[in-house]
This record gives sequence, C-alpha cells and structure tokens, in this order.
Amino acid sequence: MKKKNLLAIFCALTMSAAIGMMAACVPSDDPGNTPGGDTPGGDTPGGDPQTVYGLPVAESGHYINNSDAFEEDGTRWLFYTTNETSGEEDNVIAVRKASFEEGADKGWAYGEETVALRGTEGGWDEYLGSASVVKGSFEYGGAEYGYLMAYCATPQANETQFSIGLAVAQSPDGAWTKVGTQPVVAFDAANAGSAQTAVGNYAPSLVNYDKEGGVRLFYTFADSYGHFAKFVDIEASDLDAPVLSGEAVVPNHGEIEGGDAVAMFPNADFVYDASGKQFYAVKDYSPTPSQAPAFARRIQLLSIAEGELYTTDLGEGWKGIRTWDNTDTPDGMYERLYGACIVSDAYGHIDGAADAEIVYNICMLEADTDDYLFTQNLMSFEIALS
Amino acid sequence: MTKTRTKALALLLGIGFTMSAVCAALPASAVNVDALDTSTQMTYPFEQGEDAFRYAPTFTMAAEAGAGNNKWEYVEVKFDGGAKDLRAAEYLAVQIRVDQGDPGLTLGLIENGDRYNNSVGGNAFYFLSEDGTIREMSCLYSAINLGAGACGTLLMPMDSMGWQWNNNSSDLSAVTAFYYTTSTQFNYGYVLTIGSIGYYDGEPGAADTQFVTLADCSEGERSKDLYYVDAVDPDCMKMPSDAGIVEPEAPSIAYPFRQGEGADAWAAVWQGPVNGDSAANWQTLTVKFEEAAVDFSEASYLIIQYQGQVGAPGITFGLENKGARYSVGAPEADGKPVYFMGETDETSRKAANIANGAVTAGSVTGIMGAMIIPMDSMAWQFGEEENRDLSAVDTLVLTTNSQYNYNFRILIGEVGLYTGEAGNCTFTKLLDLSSDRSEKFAVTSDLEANRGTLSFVEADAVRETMGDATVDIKGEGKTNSSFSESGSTGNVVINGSYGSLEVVEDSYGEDALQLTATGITGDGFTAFTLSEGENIDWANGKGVSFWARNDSDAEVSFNLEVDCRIASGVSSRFNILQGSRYWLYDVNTGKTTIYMSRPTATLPAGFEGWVRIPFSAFERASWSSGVSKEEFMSEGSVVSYFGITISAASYLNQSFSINNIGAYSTTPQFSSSFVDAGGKTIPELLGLN
Repeated sequence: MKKKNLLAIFCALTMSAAIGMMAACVPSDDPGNTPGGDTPGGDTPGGDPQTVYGLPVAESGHYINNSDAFEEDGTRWLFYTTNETSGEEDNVIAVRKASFEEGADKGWAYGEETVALRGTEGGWDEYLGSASVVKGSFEYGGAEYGYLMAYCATPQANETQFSIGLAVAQSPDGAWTKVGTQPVVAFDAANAGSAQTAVGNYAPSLVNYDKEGGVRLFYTFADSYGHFAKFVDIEASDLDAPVLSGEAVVPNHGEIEGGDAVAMFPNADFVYDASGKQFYAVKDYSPTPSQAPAFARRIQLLSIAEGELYTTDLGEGWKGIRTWDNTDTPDGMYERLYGACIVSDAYGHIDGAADAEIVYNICMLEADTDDYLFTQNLMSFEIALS
Repeated sequence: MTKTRTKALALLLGIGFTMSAVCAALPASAVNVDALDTSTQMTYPFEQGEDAFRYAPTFTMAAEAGAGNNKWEYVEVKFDGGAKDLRAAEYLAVQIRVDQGDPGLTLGLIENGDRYNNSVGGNAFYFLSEDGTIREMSCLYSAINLGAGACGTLLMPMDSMGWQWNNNSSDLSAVTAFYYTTSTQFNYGYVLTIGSIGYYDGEPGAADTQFVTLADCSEGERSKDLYYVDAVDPDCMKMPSDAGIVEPEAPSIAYPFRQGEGADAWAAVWQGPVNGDSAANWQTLTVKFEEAAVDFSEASYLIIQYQGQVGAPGITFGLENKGARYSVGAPEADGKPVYFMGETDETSRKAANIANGAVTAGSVTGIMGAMIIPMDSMAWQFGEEENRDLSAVDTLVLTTNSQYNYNFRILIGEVGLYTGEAGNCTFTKLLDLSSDRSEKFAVTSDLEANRGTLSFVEADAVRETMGDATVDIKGEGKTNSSFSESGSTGNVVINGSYGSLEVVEDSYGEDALQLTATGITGDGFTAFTLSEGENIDWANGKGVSFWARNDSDAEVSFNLEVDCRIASGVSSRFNILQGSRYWLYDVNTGKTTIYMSRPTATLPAGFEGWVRIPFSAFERASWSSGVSKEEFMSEGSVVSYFGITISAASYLNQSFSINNIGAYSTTPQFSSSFVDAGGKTIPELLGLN
C-alpha cells in the first residue's frame, strides 16, 4: 500500500542473513540482483533477466507477501503483493512465471517480476494487494478473457475498510484490465462493527467451480466481531452483468485450531477437489501475537465436505490436516507464519491430488529489526493429502 | 441504625425463656458495645431444646427440581395481631430449623405487597445456634444458605436488607408478615420448620435493647390462617397436631370435558391487566349457563374446564343467585381443599387449599384440565337472605384483585356439576362449548381504566403454518405497548431497560411487531415477552423461523430468549451466542444468505424477509440449569416462554420489526447459478414462489 512514510535505514545485512536461512528457497548465485529491486519487474522490464530457483526473494527494501500460485501445462504462475519502491509500502500486485528444471540446485525456475496491477489513485482501490487468479472463460467489454483476478483494496491509508474487485487478462502475465469502477464485494459500513476501524473484506481466494464462468469467491470479512471466511458465487461469464449469489459464511466448527472463544477463520486460501467433493483451506491461526508484527504464528491446513458449505446443519465440520509453526521453519527461526496459499491448477482445483504444496509468508520480529515489514518473504511446505 | 457491639464475656446460656410479646433481653455483662459479630455474646431469644419447635409448622417443599415449571414456592408467616411497625427494628430474628436439605432462601418482610429482604448480594447475616455460637453468612444471588441441619435463630440486620420492590411507598411502618421464597429450579427436597419471629430494636445483648415478638409459637400452635403457602404441594405445611390426621382424599371422578386437540375450542381466555393497581380493583369474569338458572342444591362439586396459562392468580370462584354469592371467598371456606384433574389424568389431585378467600393453583399452571370445587369448600359470602338458595344459580363468578393479581392469563371452558358421592356421581354439563357461546362470558372491573380482557379460542383454529414452518406467535392481536419512566402501557410485557412496541405492517400487510429499545436502565437490556405459558411445540422443528425487517439504518442485533421445558417438567432458558450460522432470505433482493450471529440474531441494514435460525445456534444461558443442549427441543418438550431482548446500550432507538414466529422443519440449501445442492430454498419451503 502506498503509505508514504519513509522507513528507517534498512538493515541489509540482517536481511541477507535471513534470506540465507530459507531452506525452501534455492537461491541462484546472485539472488539479490533482480527480484525486487528499485523497479521490480516493471511494465517494460529490461536488463538481464536472472533465473531464480525456488521461491523468489524480495530485494533489499522490498517485501513479498500474500501469494497465490497455480500451475498450467508445466508452467507455474506466482502472484504476490510487493512494494514498488524500496523502503515504501506502495503495494502492487506482481507476477512471475516459472518452469521446472531437473537437476541439482534447480527446481522451479522463476523469471523476472512483472507488475500485474496497480491501485488507482483516488479510486476505491488506491491501496491494493492480495491477488487470487483463476483460468476460465470471461467476457468483458466485448472482449474474451481467459483469466480472472480478485484482489482486495481500500481508499483508506490505514488498512481498513477493504473491498474486493476483479480484473481480467488474456494471459496471467497481463495485461490486466480492471472490471468496472466499483468493487464486486464492497465494504458496507452499515453492516460492520466499529466501521471506522473494521478491516472489511480481504484475502480473496478464487475457485473456478465449473472451469468455465462459474466462479466462487472466498474472502475473509473482519470487524470488531472477528475474522470469518465467506463466499459468494459469481456467474462471471459475462462480467458486464455478473450474477452474484447471496453471501454465505463458511462453517467455523470442527478441528479448527485457535485460541478464540468463537473459532475464527482468518486470511484463508481455498482450493476445490471436485472428484472428492471437498474443499481444502489453509488459514492463519488466531489470535495473533501482541508483539509486532501482528501476523499469525501458525498456519493450518484443513478440509471440509462440500455439502457442509451449503447447510446450517452441523456435520463434522473442518478436518484438521496439519498445523505448522516456527518449529517447522529452518532452525525454528521464524515466529511468524501467515498468509499461505495452496498451489493448485489454473482453476483453483486440486482434483484427486495426493499431495499439495503450501506457500506461506515468514517475517522477522520488530524485536529483531525495526524494518521487520521488509523481511516478509515466501517459503513452502509439501504435505501428503492422502 | 445504631452500631453497637458486645465484646465478649462468657454468658451462661441454655436456660429456656418463655418470651412475652415484649421483653427485655438479658443485659450483657460486658462493656465495649459495638455491632453484632461472631464473637457477640447474647441471650438466645426463643425457647431452646427439645420443645423449642413443639408448636411450629413444618414446610416440606417440592421434591423434584423444576417442579411446577420452576415454581417460586412461597411461605408467609403473618404476624400476631396484624401489621407491626418495624421502623425501629435493628435485627429481625427468626426461629428456624433446617430439617432436610440446605436451600438458598430469599427471606424478608411483607408490607403492602412490597418486599424488604436479603436481595443485596454480599451483605452479612448471622445464625445464632441454640448453644450460643454465632455464624456469619453472606448473601449470594439474593439467597442465604443456613446450612444443613441448622437449628437456631436467623439474625437479619435490617440494614443488610433492602426493598426488592416497593411499589406502594412502604416504609416498614405496617409490616404484616415474614416470608421466604425459593425457586424449585435450584431448591427442592428440603424441609424447614419455622417457629417464633421477633426483632431487636438495638444491638442484641446491649442493655437497653428490647426484643419484640412478632409471631409467637411458644404457647401453642398458631392458627393455620396465619400462614400462607403457594407451593407445588399446597399441603406442604404441617402443624405438629396434624400428625395422624388423614387428609381428605381427592375425589375419584371421570374427566368430564373434551380432551386433546380442540379441547379448548370456544373457551374464553381471560387476560388480566398488564399492570397492578395501587388500590383494590376487583376484576370479575362472569359465566352464564345454558339454562337461566341451575339447581346446585344437590351438587357435590362444581367443575370448570380450566387452564392456568400465565401466572397463578388467586381466584375466588363463586356461584350467584340474584347477587347472593356462594363462594370460596366466604371466611369459613379458608383452609378447605380445591381439586384439579388434568385432561389426561386418571385421578384428581389437590390444587390448593383456599387461602384468603381465593384459590391459588400455581401447581397446575400450564395444564389443561378441570378445576373441581367441592360444594363444601364454599359458603354463602354475601347477598340477600332470600336469595341464598342454591336451587336457582344463575351465574358462575370468578374474581381477583388486580392490586395483587395482574398480568395473568387463564382459560375457562365448559362448566358442569356433579351430584352424588365421588366415585358414584352424575355429571351434568351446564355450559357446552361445541359452538361459539362467547355471549355467555363477560369481564368487568371496579376501575374501567385497568380492566382485563377476554378472547375466545376459535374452534377451527388449526395450527397455522407457512410451508414447512409453523406460525405460533404473531403481531395480530397485539397492541402498541411501551415501558418508560412514566410507566407501562399495552398488552405486551416490556421490562428491563425502556422499550416500545408498535404494531406495523409486514411485507404482506399483516400486523407485525416493531420493537425498539428506547432507554437504558436496569441491566441494560430491553426485554419483550411475546409468549408465556402457551407451551408451544417446536420439538420436531429444525430451528426458529420468522419474518423480520431492519427499520434502522445500521445492522441491529437482538436475542431470542427461549424457555424449553422438557417432558420431565424441568425448564431452562436458551438463547443465541456469537458465531452461529443462520439463514436470511431477503424478499426484496431475492437473495438467500448464510449469515453469522454478531453477537446474537442479526439483521443487516436494509434487510426485509425471512430468518431461519437453527436450534444448534442456541445455548443454555449461563445462569440457567436443568435442560441440556441435547435435550433442547427434544421430543415432548415445549416452549413455555419466548421473548426478545435488545442491548439498549448498543442498539438504542434502532427499530426492527418481527412477525410470524414459529419453527421450521426443513433446513434450506444454499444454491447459486451454478450450484444446486438438491435441497429447497427458503421461498420454496415457505411456498412464497
């Protein structure tokens, strides 16, 4: 987000040390040159593209968070939020394309970063982030598009009152066109507790349910009563006249790990297993620590029978699959794990998959560095689902 | 009040004293006088030892938890010689023995119907054992536990007590009785013996302190009419002399009226005024018979189809012949029995003993049946001598004084009489309600401004439904009501914080209830009682269904307060907690939403339509006990109370409307343009399409 507050001097040494500790990341010989940077990717990227094996690492003065990843025909697309200017929180949504290379010290080879979407100054989405992208068949403004993005944004500089908007593209790496001038799920002050400070609608997560135009938009709604997952079904084949269902709060019973009196479901990413008729979700643990940063310290992977989303009859609810905390990070050094996504196919499905890859965020503590926000990077776990 | 304290030199106790009405306590042989505490040495004020309670009545209270629908059992000990001035009292002294159990007692004094008692939590009270030891007890939840087996004198500092309510500007200058009360929800299976009662006008043990006796049991049994009980068992009080006396048996008769569904057809429902009066205001229901005059001269029982629906008013039943009244209100009727037979019962049972000229049948509240009044339990109360003739009775009369009895609702149906001895008697129906005979009923009152109302159960009134949902509570028949600093109006009870109810139109032009919290006082919640004593059957439902509209410009939340009484008679309060999913169907947008309670039942701004809240969203209130979550809405259970509460602080002046409250039997299914889970939507289930 474009908070214009300049940061204190960034501690490059600390950052470098942190990067070196990331086990899931396989750095190139010169990991710091291209990813991130003063003008990361850019609309007209130039220079010498560098291949990054393993998840990309934010350049000095930058951060990467709120990722979304899918694979299509042997290609992986990684979307994430980053800051466009070193030392500022001027969020953009960026994308990198990766292909898998066999060999020692190789793996997913990520190309350079491209800015997919920027906020519109003075618009409802001036401060944006947290993209989720699915493939499908979408028509908008007389043109056909193959990819749909949901993102959250707000005109408020204080990270409150988020809404969710849509954008379309013919290829994941753009160009992306925003759908309309208003959000598809707007912040509603009349229905938010303590509206001035309510976070609102964030963490969109798309699933293309029928792999055509029937899209399910999951998101988190947060206000003074807590953070809970919701979804709305959108018939998005004609985005000039999308048809929205009523919203539905996702069940919050079952094996949900958390320390709240009422089980919350914050900052979650969802994928669909159509063959097993179930949904998977990876969510943040709640509550968050009081010590900055107020990001979650655990993430949990869960599944639920699809039918339970459509009824208020209490079934088994969510089944917990795995919870990760700092002890699962290299040398147990990261006390913040949050903002995870499940790598899926282009439609947000993992139909019949035996295992899954979870991409998540880590961050250092304020106690370790004043510039902790700029230590946000991605790591990943793999887990068997059956 | 003066604070004195007697510190401690040992005093020889153990000598029995026969107390006169006024006697001086023995002077304490100590100096350094200060307030009563556990080290105080004082003379025991009543008789001690084996004979201490030889003339005292024993009260055997409800045996089962929740008996009488969590009835508040009440025992009153009237003072000798009428009202007493207790303004000088410093300590109330009650000779008491806990024979069984250890109930939490709410105790105090009665003046003009107002109650001065231990309603202030945390205040200290004392128990003086016969051996002279003093225990300090703390009041918790307006109750004191004396301890199992306690035997001695309860000492209640008057300044530890307070007015639980004082509607008549009472000032302790004319106190008529001591009382205690407990709820069977928490207190049952206990037995108490209560002896003499008195008060100290100073510190017990101080030289100048006088002890004044208010109710003296030392010389002999007091008259039974100096006691009043309203208990599950109306015969719960036994005098020592009652031992060996056989109670009259309940009459063995066949149930003579209609039973089951439709049994209440064309019956009259007498609703008492919502508020009490400051002075006597006699409410009267008259019932005429098929014939202009009926011969009761050979009758053994008057029998009336009866159901107490709300409250347990003291009703005076009587028969009139040209204004001469043969009634339970005659002085000689007091203490005589009145019986009741539930419509499914095989035998009758005692409903109450007549007390103060009235029948208070709290033990049968909620049960459809027959009130059986022995003709011997009535006598001529007043009227011209020439009309005191039971061969030409023209009217059945029921009266009650709304100074004390209000906000009640009772159903009166068919009427008959028995002749002959019980077990071999003949029934004659005097009023048949197989058709509309509403012209036979009439209500009146001394004060027209505060008069009860009469309605009739329509014979063809089958349970109203909309699709798969019942419609049990409606706006129809309700009137605008308000509760404010200036008092209450209307026919819906509103209490707690201030509130108003206005009858408005719903989406279909029917009467709906617009509820508004209008002021913050008390516990901060405005409560609307929408159904009480109707025993609504939601046992086969999935949840609560109702129409609602948010009439404000912001989200509004409220709670549904449901008393669920299970087949065993135990009842508990359930309501909605945060974090439960439920359904909203907006009739204007056509969209169905699965919403979440925030923190209770919540209507988004702009919502108008149907709400379905599953029973799984309800939890037992933290202060309630008895019915488990698994038993909630189980087979055989009924909803004995339904109300709505609003946090006045959070939703002040945010109106919303509600109507057609019932239970739904099918859980809707979420659907969208590309998902059809196979179930039905709310409009399909309600038949709105």
